[in-house]
Amino acid sequence: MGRSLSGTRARLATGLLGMLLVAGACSSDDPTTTGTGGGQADQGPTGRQELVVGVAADPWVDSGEGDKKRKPNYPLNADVCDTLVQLAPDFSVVPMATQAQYVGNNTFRFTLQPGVKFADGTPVTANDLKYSIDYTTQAPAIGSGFIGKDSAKVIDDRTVEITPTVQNLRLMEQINHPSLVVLKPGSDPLNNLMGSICTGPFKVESYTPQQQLVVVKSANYWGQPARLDKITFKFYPDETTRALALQNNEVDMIQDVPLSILKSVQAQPGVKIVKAPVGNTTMFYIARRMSNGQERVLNDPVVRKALAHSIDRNAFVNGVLAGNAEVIPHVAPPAVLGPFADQVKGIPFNRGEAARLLDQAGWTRQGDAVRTKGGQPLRIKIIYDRVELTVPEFVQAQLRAVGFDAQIAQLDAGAYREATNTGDYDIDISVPNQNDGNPAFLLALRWYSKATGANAKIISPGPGTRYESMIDAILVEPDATELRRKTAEAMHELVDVEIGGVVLAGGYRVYALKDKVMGFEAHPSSTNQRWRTVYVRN
Amino acid sequence: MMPIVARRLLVLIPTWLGLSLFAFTLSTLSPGDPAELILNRELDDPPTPAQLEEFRERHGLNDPFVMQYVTFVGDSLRGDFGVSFRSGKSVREELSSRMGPTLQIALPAFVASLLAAVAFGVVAALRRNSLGDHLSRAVALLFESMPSFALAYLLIIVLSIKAGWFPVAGKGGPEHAVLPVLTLTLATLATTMRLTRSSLLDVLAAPYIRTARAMGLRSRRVVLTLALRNALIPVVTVAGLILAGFVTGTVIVERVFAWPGVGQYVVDAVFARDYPVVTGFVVFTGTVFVVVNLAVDLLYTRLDPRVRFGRAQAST
Repeated sequence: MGRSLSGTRARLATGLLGMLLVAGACSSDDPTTTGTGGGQADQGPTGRQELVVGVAADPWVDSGEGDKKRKPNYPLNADVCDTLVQLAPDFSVVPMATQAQYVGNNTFRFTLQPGVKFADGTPVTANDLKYSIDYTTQAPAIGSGFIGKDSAKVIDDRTVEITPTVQNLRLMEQINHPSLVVLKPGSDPLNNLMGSICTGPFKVESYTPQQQLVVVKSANYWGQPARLDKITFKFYPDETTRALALQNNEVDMIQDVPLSILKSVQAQPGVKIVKAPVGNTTMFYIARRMSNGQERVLNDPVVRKALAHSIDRNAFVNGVLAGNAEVIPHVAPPAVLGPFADQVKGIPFNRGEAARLLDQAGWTRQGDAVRTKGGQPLRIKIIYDRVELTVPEFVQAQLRAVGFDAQIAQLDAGAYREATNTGDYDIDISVPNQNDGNPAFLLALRWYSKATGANAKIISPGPGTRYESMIDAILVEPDATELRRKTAEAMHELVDVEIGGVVLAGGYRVYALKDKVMGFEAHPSSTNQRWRTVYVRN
Repeated sequence: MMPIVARRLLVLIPTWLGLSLFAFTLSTLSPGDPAELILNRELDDPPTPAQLEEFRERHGLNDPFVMQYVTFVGDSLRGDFGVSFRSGKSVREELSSRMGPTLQIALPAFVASLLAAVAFGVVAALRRNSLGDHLSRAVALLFESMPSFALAYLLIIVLSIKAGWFPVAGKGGPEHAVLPVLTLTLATLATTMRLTRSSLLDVLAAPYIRTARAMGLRSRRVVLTLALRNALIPVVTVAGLILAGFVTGTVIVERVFAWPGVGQYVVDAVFARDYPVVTGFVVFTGTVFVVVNLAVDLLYTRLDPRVRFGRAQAST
């Protein structure tokens, strides 16, 4: 998204807007705003309950790079559909429309909760669950890879069993992803949103592409009913416009407040900021080899370690992100590792050690010049995806300080994809999100040489390594606690020993809400955000 | 008039062919295999050679370049720009559905910009070097110098948040269109206004205007019927370009005001390498410019009867 405005233009815009917002906030005479907190006793939901939410560009129309397989069935999670099981804010998996259990032999059983109904009032059956699973496993919906086609079998009226076509004991943690929701047969939400029927506490009332999605309370919801009568999600592709719409009371809350103007938004009377727990990481993957097998400069473990020592994460969090992130060493939110998160240490910032290691590796330096070895400069190519230009610029500056000739390549989506497929890069900066309950999701997806994506071959430690055998064991581990422990060990191996990637920060979603908005619980994964508990104080 | 139009249309054919060849070649020569790019996005597993081959065959990517181009031209002449790689929908339908909202702000902005620019330009020329002249030029220049997104934010702050007159963004009633229209109007006002002013000053200094005044014609009549008509010729040229620019999308304004027009759609297509959309849009854009230029040329003959197509020299 951020590529539509250039980085410089975006900075100018946010700077200008920040100044204007401060001026507007300081001189506001809006009698409807009462200051943060408001000091009023909450009486719970009373009167007509309506909420207007400012969200980003319409995901049914604009899916970023147009990546269909990344679209869940409901790319904007409006709590219209229930999943089989759901992801709790601590990344544990809990029942939702079904109770789930592993029954052995790579088979998982899902039994419908009592009274589960569709929004039209008809009861949900096991055949409906099978339809939902089969729908998801058809392209272009996301997530079919871990299930496989025709892997669901109806056992009785309330029970289905899934036997993945490949050994996959992580299915339970993966299937909470909102790509797999309970759909009434015939529903096709990706292509016919209005004609689709689900089981959630809300149902779609209207959808105007690129303008708004309106959902209303479902009278037939089988569980605890929603507290809101109606939610209008308005699409604002420009994040600063979203903030202005909040200031102008056109919306009651907004998602993804730009960090550069967060303080200004917070200063608005009657606005409160809610931050979700860490749900993503800003990090970079390190390419060791190209897809044709040719080794890249960072295949040398000493150079990788020097590179990790070169990055001042505190400066990144406090400078680039204005303190709105956490310094963590984990490639996934630490909460997914539970009590074992401490096993991952991270490589501390130490320019002296970085210089010593590079000297040791034969990359010598004259003064402030670029390091060379055998006449060749220590040149690395930085590519990036879904981050502002300030992030690669920060990394570039940090690496140049120790003698790397770091070059940033600004690529469009197609060129970026090609670079990651061929390995024509050294550092790939990205922001992976944790949207399911599998703690090893990213480890197995990106650094496991047996993963299906081409990039895995480029960045993985490779077959036969200790890391690879750790992932093999994780994929067949049935116990949840043991899974977390083994994943923490593997992440330690990846981050502290293999230096497969360097984490810059743990990030979270930031929401700005009018004081009247109550009961909102920000989920670290936006695709798992629920709206049923929200209400407004009239 | 009809032979003139026919001659101009004939000249436009090679122009359009050149444009379509350029657009098509650009897309074809772009690095990366569309089949691999698209299937990598759509499939969970990397595409097999058979899947890649089937995709190329289905989309005619295996045909020789010349055959692909001829097919493209034939389809384009029927208004068929192919199918979007991303959505699988007709490019013509996708562009059409977004053209309506774009026109809803483009046409009013064009009319407002032209009327205001001509009015201010005439006043500035008639009151040359007065305070009003300097002030109007300075203000217009200020708006033109500002990046359109900054101007958009400024208008939102002043007219929405402070004054409360208009909504910040979104598409709804007519009030939602005011700020995007105003942004486009102000951003293009200065160019046309300064051109009107300088052109009118030149014309007012011409001998035939002095003669007309010496013959006792009223000043208003001299300006409005004699001078302005001739002074508008360069203005019409610039106005045509502005109109074509508005119609083919105003990305920043559409994005800031959450206006569902064609600009943002095409930018997304460029980043996604959705070649049929990009090529179709380039051809469409070029066609709009070509048609607008034709209209401008025809308007010349109305404004200045001395201008005749096909003659090397204006009659005297």
